[in-house]
Order: sequence, then C-alpha cells, then structure tokens
Amino acid sequence: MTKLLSITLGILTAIGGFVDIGDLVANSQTGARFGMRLAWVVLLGVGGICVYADMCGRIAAISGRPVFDLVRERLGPKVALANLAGSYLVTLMTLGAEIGGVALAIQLASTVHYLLWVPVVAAVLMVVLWRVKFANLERVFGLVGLSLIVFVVALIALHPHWGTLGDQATSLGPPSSETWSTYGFFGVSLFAAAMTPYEVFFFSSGGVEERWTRKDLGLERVNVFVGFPLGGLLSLAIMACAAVVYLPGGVQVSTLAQTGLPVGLALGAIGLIVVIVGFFAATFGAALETGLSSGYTVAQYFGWQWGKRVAPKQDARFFTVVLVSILLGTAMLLTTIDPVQLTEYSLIFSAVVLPLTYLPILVVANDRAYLGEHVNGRVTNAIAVFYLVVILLVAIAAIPLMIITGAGS
Amino acid sequence: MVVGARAWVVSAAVLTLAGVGVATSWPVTERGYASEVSATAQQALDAAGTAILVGRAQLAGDALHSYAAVAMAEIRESAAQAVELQLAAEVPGPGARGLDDELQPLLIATAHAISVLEEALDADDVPCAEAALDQLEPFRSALSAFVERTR
Repeated sequence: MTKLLSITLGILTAIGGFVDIGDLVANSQTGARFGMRLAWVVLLGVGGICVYADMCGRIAAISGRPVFDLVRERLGPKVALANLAGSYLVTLMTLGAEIGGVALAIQLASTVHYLLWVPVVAAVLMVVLWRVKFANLERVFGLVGLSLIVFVVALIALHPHWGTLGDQATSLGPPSSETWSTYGFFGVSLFAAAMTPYEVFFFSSGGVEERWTRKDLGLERVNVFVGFPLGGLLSLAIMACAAVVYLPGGVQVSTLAQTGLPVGLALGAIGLIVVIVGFFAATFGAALETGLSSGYTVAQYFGWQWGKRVAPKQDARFFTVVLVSILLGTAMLLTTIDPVQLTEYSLIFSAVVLPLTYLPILVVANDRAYLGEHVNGRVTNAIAVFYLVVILLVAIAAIPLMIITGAGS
Repeated sequence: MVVGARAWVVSAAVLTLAGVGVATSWPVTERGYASEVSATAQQALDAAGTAILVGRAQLAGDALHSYAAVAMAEIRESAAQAVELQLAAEVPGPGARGLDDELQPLLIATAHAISVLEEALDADDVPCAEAALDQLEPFRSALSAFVERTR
C-alpha cells in the first residue's frame, strides 16, 4: 500500500512538475498561431526527455552520483567546462523567467505590478530553498501544479470541433497565414521547452538527494514514462485551448493573462482562480528546480559538497551559488525585460546548448565502469542517437531561425 | 602563414558588427515598410481581439476582476504602443503613404475604444462597455483584413 502510494505520488508530482513558464508560453503562442500543427513537436520532445531522464535516473540510482559529477570525470575538465558554461547560463535565464512567471501570476491575483513582486518572490524563494526539505519542495509544488489540469477541463467545456483539431494535428507544415521559418522557429521553441537542460540536472541530482538505489529503478521509470507523458498532455491541452479561442480570430498570444483566458471563457471566475494557482505552482516549483540546478551544476563541476541533504553550513559554497543565481535572475528582471520575452529567449538559447547537455549523458550512460550491466541497450542507444541528431539539428537551426523571423514576430 | 584562433574570433566579431551596422542603417524599402506596418497592425489586432474576449467574459460575470483588470491594462499598453510605433515609422515613399493613411486612424480608433472599454469595465458601466465592444468589433475586422492583405 505504501509502495502504491509512493508510485502514485511520484507520478502526480511528475505530471504537475512537468509544465513550467517555457511550456506555458510556447504552447499557448503556438496554439494561437498554428493550431495543433506543431503538436507532434511536443510528442517528440516528451519522448526525448523521457529517454534522457531515464538515463540520468539510472546513472544516479546505480552509481549514486549525479550526471554532472561523472561528466567531468569521464570527459575531462575542458569538455565539462563547456557543458557547465552553456548549461549554467541557460539555467540562469530560465530561473529569471520562472521568477518573472511567479510575479506575473501574483499580479493576476492582486493587480499590483509584477516588478514590485519580483524582489518578494526572490526573497521567499531563498527562504524556501534554505529551510524546506527536498522531498517536500518537490511534492508540494508538483501536486499543486496539477491544478493546470483545469486546461484539460476547459478544453472539453469549450466544445471544440475535435475533427478540426485532429486535422490540424495531422497536417504537416504551417497554415497559409504563417511561413515555414516561423513554423520552424516555434517548433524549436516547443522542443526546447520540453527538453530544457535544467530538467535532467534536477532529475539526476534529485535522485541522489533522495538516495535512490537500484531498487528504486522501477519507481524512477514509472515516474518518467508515465508522469512525463501525462505532463505532456497538459502542454497539449494548453496549446489546444489557445487554438480554439485565438486561432479563428487571428489573435496572437504574448502575455500570461492571454494564456489563462480560455479557461475563464470556459469555466468562469472559478476556472481563473484555479489557473492562477496553477501558474503560481508551476513557475514557483520550476524556480526552485532551476535555483537548485544552478547550484548543482557549479558545485558538481568543482567537486564541492552540494545538495539539500547536507546542512547549509556544510555546503556553504553550493548555497552561495544558489542564492547568487537567484539574485542574478532577479537583477535580470529588474532591468524591466518582459518575462515572456525572457522566456522566449531562454528557450532559444536552451535549444543551442542542448547538445552540450545531452551528448555527455549518452556517453556516461554507455560506460560500464559506472553502470555495469545497466548501461544502455541497443534499442535505447538507437533511440538516444536519433534524438541526439534531432537535438543537433535544433541547435544549429535555433539562432538563424531567430534572426530570420525576428524571434517569431 | 597560420592564422591563429584569436584572429578568426576577432574577424568574425568585426564582420558581425559590420553586418548589424549595415542592416540597421539601411534605408527602409517599401516592402520592408509593408512588413513593419503588418506587424504593427497584428499587435493592434491582438489587443482588440483579446479586449473583446475579456470584455465579454467580464460582462457575462465569467472573469475574475483582478485578472480582467490586469489583462485590460496590458491590452491598453499594447494598443498604445502600436500607435506610437506607427507614428514613429518612417514612410519610405509615396507608394507606402496609402498604407500609413489607412492604418494610422484605425490604430488610434482601436486604442481609444480599448481605453473606453477598460474604463467602463472598471466602473461597472455595462451600457458603456457594451457600446465600446460594439465599436471594437468592426475595428478588429478591419485590422484583420489589413493584416491579411499586407502579410
């Protein structure tokens, strides 16, 4: 019974924790402009994150060490430094975007301008990271994030023409109102939103924090292969809601208020309250994850003590990196950059550094010295290499597409 | 002679900067202008379309007051920014003048109707809000047609 509860809780947490500001923005914008024509990218991205998160979970459970730690040992300090630099900068941008997302969610409930909330959110984030236990952090925000299921309910209540959504999902290429380059740009954003680098650092380090062993491999796999795809369904529901409400009028989405509005139209004020709670939990949970991930990457590269399982005074350098990263993310927002734009840019730069994150994971997951009999099998390797090719193509295309399309405008 | 990595990096940086400089100082062509006004009209269309959705939701009692207020404030700012962009845009020649003459009054009227709607919703003035919504609908259609034509 306890095991069943643990599995259920893990799955629910994975579903609720899957969506972050990147998913909210990218899926809503894409739905409004392309309908469900890019839904296949979400499915592709979810498949990719499942394959690589499983590798990370396996590495953590078998070796008892996180991926970043092994990357430096296996590939040497130079390659690991390139990995660290790219991943840290993107995680920092994502952290800024998540803090902005929390502030925007509070603004929707309070009408007080989001910039005034940014320092408050940063302070609360620091206190929570300092004081609250790892398992509680993950579970509370993952479970409250489940309130984003309201998008699925809203989609049903909007009585969409399912055939039209299905036709869009099965059509390859942009609608007549869009170009192939904007189609490609938003495809890249969606893929990066599903495979954001911090997710694997957090998953791998979280496994070590929770002291996974090979006995936990089953639970890890259920979380990944059931929880993540169901989380991907939330992304598709957000996309579909925008497709139903905005696409017919040719209206594009550029704010978080627009993202949640279809729920209000379908379910009224109660729906909007649930949406705000969902936005808050999804972005605050992701801010915690990105804050910790920034500390994980740096501390693991330099071989410092790290993690929530250690008292702050014993891993002061780890906590210093986390707190400084939060301050830097906050400073980024206080330049008055629009958090939604910051999210868009963070997704594109995530796409650029994806190979730096995922190639080393694949190398370590094939090393018998760390994983013994649990190294990747042929099928896993074939799928992982396929994804690596996709990741490379996405990384190469990201910046040119951003320039050609004027960041999708 | 072997060229060092540093020289390559410096050359690439100089070329990039030169490229950005040329691109930003190049005079706007009529085609480029049409693309700019299309983007501005799209921004106003997004504002008008969303304002209609928010306004209708609030009149039907389906919108949380704070949520609608934040959404309307963002919409108003976006519509006003579209007006500013169009006023500041450099018209490249007589061929493009027609686009400016058509779009500018439409943007100003849309921004005004959105402001009226926001105030009416804020004051719970239902007849005024309904009138503003009726006014916005044809502007939204005109903006949609403009975007379609100039895309």
